[in-house]
Amino acid sequence: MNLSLRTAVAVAARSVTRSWPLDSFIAINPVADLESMPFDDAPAALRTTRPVEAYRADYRSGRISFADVEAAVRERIPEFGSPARAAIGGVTVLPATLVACDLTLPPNSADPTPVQQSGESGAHARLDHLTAKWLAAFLDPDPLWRMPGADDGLFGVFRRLARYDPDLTRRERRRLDTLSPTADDALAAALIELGVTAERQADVLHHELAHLPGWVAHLKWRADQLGDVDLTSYLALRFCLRAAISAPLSAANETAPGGGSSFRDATLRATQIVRSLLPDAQVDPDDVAVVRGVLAAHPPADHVFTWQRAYEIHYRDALLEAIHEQANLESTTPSSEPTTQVLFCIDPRSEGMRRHLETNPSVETFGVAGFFGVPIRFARYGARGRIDALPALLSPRHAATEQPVDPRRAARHTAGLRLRSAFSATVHASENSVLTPFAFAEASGLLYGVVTLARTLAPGMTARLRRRAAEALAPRLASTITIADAFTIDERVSLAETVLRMTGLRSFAPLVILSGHGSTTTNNLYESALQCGACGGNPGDANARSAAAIFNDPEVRLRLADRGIVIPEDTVFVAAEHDTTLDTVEILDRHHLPEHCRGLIADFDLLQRAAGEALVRERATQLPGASARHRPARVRRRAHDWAEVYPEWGLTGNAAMIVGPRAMTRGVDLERRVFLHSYDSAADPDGTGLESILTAPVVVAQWINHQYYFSAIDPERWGAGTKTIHNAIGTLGVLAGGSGDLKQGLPWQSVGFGHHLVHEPMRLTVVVEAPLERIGEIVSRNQVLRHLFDNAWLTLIARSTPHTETPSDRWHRYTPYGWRPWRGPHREGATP
Amino acid sequence: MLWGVGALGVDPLAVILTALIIGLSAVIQCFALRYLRGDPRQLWWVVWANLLTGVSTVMVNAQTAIVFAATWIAAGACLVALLNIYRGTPGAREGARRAALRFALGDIGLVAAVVVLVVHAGHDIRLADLAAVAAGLPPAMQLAVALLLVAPALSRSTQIPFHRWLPSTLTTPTPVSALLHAGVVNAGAILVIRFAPAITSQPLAMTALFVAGAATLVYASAVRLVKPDIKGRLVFSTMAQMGYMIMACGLGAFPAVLLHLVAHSFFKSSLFLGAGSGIRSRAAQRDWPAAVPRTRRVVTAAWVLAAATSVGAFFAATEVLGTRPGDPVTALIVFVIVTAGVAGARWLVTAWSPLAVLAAICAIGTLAFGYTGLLDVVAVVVPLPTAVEPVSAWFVTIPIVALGTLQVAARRGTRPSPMRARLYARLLSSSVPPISPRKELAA
Repeated sequence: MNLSLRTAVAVAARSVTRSWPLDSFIAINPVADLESMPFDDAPAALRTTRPVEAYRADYRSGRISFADVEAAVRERIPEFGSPARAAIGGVTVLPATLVACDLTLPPNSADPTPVQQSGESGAHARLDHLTAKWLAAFLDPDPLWRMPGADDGLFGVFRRLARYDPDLTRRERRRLDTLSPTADDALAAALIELGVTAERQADVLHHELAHLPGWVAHLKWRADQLGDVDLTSYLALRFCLRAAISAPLSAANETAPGGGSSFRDATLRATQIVRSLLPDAQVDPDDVAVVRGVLAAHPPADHVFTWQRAYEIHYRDALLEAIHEQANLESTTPSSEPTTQVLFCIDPRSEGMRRHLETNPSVETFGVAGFFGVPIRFARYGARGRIDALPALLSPRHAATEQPVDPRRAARHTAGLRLRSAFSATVHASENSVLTPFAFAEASGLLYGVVTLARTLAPGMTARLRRRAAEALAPRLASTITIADAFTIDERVSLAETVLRMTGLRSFAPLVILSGHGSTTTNNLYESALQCGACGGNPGDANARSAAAIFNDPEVRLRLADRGIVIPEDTVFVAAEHDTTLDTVEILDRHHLPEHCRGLIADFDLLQRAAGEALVRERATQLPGASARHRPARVRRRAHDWAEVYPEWGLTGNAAMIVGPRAMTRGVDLERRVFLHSYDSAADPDGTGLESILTAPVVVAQWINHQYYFSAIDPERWGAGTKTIHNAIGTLGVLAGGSGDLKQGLPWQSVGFGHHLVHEPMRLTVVVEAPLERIGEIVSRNQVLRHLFDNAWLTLIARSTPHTETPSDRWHRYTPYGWRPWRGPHREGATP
Repeated sequence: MLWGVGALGVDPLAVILTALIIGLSAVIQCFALRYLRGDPRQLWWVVWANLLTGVSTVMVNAQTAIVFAATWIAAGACLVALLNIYRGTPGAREGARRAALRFALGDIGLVAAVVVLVVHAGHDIRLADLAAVAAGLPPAMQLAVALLLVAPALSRSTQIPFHRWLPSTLTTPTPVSALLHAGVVNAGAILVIRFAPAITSQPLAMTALFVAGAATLVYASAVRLVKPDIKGRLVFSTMAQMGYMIMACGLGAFPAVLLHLVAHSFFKSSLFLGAGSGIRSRAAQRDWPAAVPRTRRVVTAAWVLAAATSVGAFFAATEVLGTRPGDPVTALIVFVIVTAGVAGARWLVTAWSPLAVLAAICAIGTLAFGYTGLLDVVAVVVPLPTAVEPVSAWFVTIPIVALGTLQVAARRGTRPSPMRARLYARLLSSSVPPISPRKELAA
């Protein structure tokens, strides 16, 4: 194998964004490889925005105003921001207004329709079909019949088996009979056979990886995480098949957007604008020429991007205005000495719970990444498996497990689970052996019938019964997390210090609750997407318990005091879990609670119950099939209903992230659309806390945001399509129907209902309250952030201090050319 | 007496099947109320699912040949419409097309047979009088009618050579699959039972049923082993289960057929509706303790014990309840014995303790007496036809040996041999609907 081919494979692989398997769903930006270039420069064929018509409909409905469009034009074309003016028939008009007219006037001819990719030829469809068949069989984590010779890797097993494949003609099979034994050599040989020259290699490989994007993204993950397969083997398989079935190389699929002739003629558009501005006068050709000159700076291909920006500006202005107005609210101020502080995950769903809890002034809440700074690989007591409860940005280095408090109970617990496990193994063997399913179906059919009936007609009761039976068999185990074995004392102290520094939590209430979050759903292949992203798509209980243990450790507190952070002796940290489907905050590890805080805990229990019910009612107004008039129990039953495809909305609607003290937003209804990270620049003089926030939680929030964005933009390509036809392959992913590509992204039921989007696809607006220079330094230091902010994959808005006189000057928008003052909402702009 | 009073009628079989159809349909539709919420095609589902339920109910209550044939064809049409629910997607259209084609082939047989019978009798015939009418036909005609009646049964129950439609039906929402796999595919057996007097007297027709059933049973069991996707496994599982049922028809074991039909409906609908549970159960299993490694001695003891208990229990049960060896039922009981043995052994290996042994013995004993007893109850309560010329029960050994061989071939850790490689590649190719090179030329 020559080095250049290996390099070409590595280069091509860089364009692939890995996608995590279903059981640890990590949100990603499916086009992350484009982040190094401006969002608006994405190839038109990718269609990274909604179609123009969708924005026009929003304009008609008022979701986008004329002023929004003008503001968007000014943001996208900074030259139009200067006080340059054009004179049209004696009236001076801003160029941005002219462009906005161009966008908003009803089209006098068809808008350029997005170029449809040419239908795949038969040979390509066949190649994809064959490739998918081999991949699915090889990658199946739990096969009933393991591929003969699977130990030889993907290419090895393909080489052994493909020569017998009846889907190929005899001639094609014969060609596969003489493959080189190693993937490298076979790939090189196949490329030569297909006439690919060395210069074109990188390009050809790159194009090849664009086919079957779901499988390729999974392969990339698998190559990185498990290493039992690599992209070279895949490409070897793919090109050998291609050569064998004589499928021509796929043409570069960037088709040029429709030529200028199919666009609205610029003169026509300019005339229309002039006529709309001066309805009574004759159209002066000079005016038309002026307008046409302005329009030339904003060609029709850019229209969707301006529309998208306007769509976002509308929301952003409303958000900033809400924050501004909040400053004048008196009622929302918390008491100066809160009795309970609750740390929630930054997840937008926490915002609802926080808002409802804070109706009581004695409660203060904070937002921090839901793993509470404790990255662990966690296994329950005596468990066979483990989870990586940490953000995908980190790699698991610290293993923790549980130590039971009562060994006798632990023995009963284990014995019970063993019995369950034996029962499940028996059922599995009877269902899946070759000779047994027939009589097994007969013997167990009636039981299955009863279960179906119960789960369909009484899901809540069935779940209760199941839980009770499970707990009777294996009683719940009170335990302690072995956090001291996972981290040294120094590590624990710095973990604790980091969390406090990032959140600005300095004065402690008697009760500090660390609330991770999870989601109870039934029969839902996408349940991991509803869990905590900061915990690797797992519920956050283990991390919350670990963090509470660290903060309660007297030695940690002693050393924190040395570093100037004094936690009062009677302050107790308690772990909890916020269930986002049920909207309950359950206190964990109750056996660790000291006597003196039980009263506070009881108070909190009452409080969270009321807050939870209020929040359920609020969510019920948006959930399909629910209504605010329904009892909360009825809405909560969705968690246990195996027929429910909309158990909760998850992070649907997420649009912004606010980094700053809660005082900015307390009392504002942010509609569970905003990631909230607490931050106090005064508590973080050197900015390391802010740097951590911008490079970790903000980046993760951006992944989530773009996952939702693209799943909404094209639900079939970047999203997983409708759940109703999903067909899981073990835990690695789903197919839509019986075969084909692995689906990526989120299902339609996470972003829309009926024919309509529920998620408003908007790039994340990051709002930070911190000194502008400090933010600027951090951004310029970190290439990831420069890419995201400079290329407009995210918008960054900041203000240095909360107390400025005029609202319109204090916010600044980050641009590659420096901070620009935010001009405030342009509500007064008149529509022509 | 065309469309006379006797067109519909109630007998115990009709009562059981009506309850089954309406019950399953109600539960699945209740499920779909939530599952298809917001789906643009929900109305399509409601209309066609109810029509399907309606005509199926009429079908099982039909007492004359023409009513049965008409409702049979209507049920097929309703199913094709349901399969086409997501008609915008190529996969769905392809599935509906394949099903329609094979149904049409089978239904031509049914129509031809009914036409022959009705023309011969001069009027619509009651199914109860079928024996007399068929006996009046010339022998060659009798055989032709029997074979023509077997064809629709095979096509509806997705049997070889009509088996290629079922795997293409996965581009439909889960409730459609549940209704299809729990309901419609069973119709083959119902047709055989209803037209039994015309079929069971023809050894060739019975052989056709047996051979098609046994072949499908082995084929689908084999393909299922290489399927990676959960619904794909369920599809081939259904196909194999239908093979088992049609094979039992060939044996004339109609009580066993009825029992299997009802039980499998519950079984498969539950598995389909719960097809999204994999992630959750995997997460739950992660928290279970690791399996205890067992010594060879324990494993051997577990297998011996389970095997001995199963054989002993069923021997006792058949003795007590008086099923004769050589009965078709006895042949099928071999399957039950093997199942009890495998399940018992697996249980004992994982949960080896005196209590577990006791539990296993009790469970196997209950199963043995319960199963044979249940068969006898079915035979007594539901008057079912007796086969005049059934296939000898001894032939069941062939599929059993084939399945056993398959189990050995698929065992983990065996060295790859060209034979196994060839078999695997063939099965893998059968497991997904093919795209042929010819089609490529057309495209």
